[in-house]
Amino acid sequence: MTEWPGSGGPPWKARVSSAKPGGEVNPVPEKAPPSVPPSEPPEPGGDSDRAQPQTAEAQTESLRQLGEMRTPPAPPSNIHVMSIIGQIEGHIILPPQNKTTKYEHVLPQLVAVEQNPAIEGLLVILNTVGGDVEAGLAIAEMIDSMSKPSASLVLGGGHSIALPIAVSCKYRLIASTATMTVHPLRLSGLVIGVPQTYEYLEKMQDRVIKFVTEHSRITADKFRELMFRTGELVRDVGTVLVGADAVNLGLIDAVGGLSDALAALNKMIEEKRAREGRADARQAISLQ
Amino acid sequence: MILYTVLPIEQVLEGIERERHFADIEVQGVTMTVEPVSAEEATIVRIISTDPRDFLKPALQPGRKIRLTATLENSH
Repeated sequence: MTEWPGSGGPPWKARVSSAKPGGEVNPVPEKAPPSVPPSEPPEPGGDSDRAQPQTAEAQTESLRQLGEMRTPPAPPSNIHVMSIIGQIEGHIILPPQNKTTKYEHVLPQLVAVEQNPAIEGLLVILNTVGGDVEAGLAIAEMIDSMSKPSASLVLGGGHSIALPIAVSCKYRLIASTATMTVHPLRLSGLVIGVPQTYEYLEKMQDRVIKFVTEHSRITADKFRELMFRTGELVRDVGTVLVGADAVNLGLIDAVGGLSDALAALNKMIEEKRAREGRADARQAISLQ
Repeated sequence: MILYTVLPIEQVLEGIERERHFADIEVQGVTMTVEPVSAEEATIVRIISTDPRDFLKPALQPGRKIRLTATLENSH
């Protein structure tokens, strides 16, 4: 968190902080000021995640101060990639045979993406079998409410609760071989056979339907029809949409792949820069 | 909890009754929940932080192994 303890501060301050990690073998040289390498950027509010390539001195300093060698960060990318894979894990930690996406980790990441001025766009890669309704909807709502351009790419499979996440991005793509399964919700665990159970389930299902229909061109009636279609799935009611099917139904914007997703994202970023006027554009350029 | 998934629920929840042990530790100022896998190693399960940047750090992603050193916890 603090890679540059005391950077840019007065020399005495730098010395204090360099002595902080417990007076280890770190003799303060006679000439105190040069102990802070002059190449260290005294950047105002120096954001370490802004990913300046670290100089050799800075690395040595980091090794001495924190006992750890930080690998030099890669050149900064203005796009952040989030891959949502396996099961979307909700309030219960799933057994380890599941590959999981943890919502409690993804949500703060989205906050960081939204808040970090160096990140201008989000690419969501989906290959998921579904998961917890509340966790999935939480991720979808977070992506939807971001001000930065976002694009989703469904690869392999984007089933069940992946649908709201896929449509939450501003531009959505599906690989031609990828599938999306639309099927009804079922209650896991203890099912109490009272009418309220079904009402509750219906309500949960409506949340998903509402989100999907509000964020795509499909109508609620059509979505319900897909959900309860018989004869498509072996063990269940529902529909499997392969590539172009999802586009024809208005769920997804286009069939495409990685380059299409990046092109769309870059286009949205350009448009956003243009919209935000010269001042912000200048800042964005200086960050590159 | 409602799981909305194409996988059979038995397959997803298989082995959920198996007990797992977690520990909350602090590593370089970041609190995290880890699952010890051996005496020297633990897997990060969850990061507990209010700094959003912590969640973007590659070294702090869930599933990453961390080396446990006895000195950190015992000598402060």
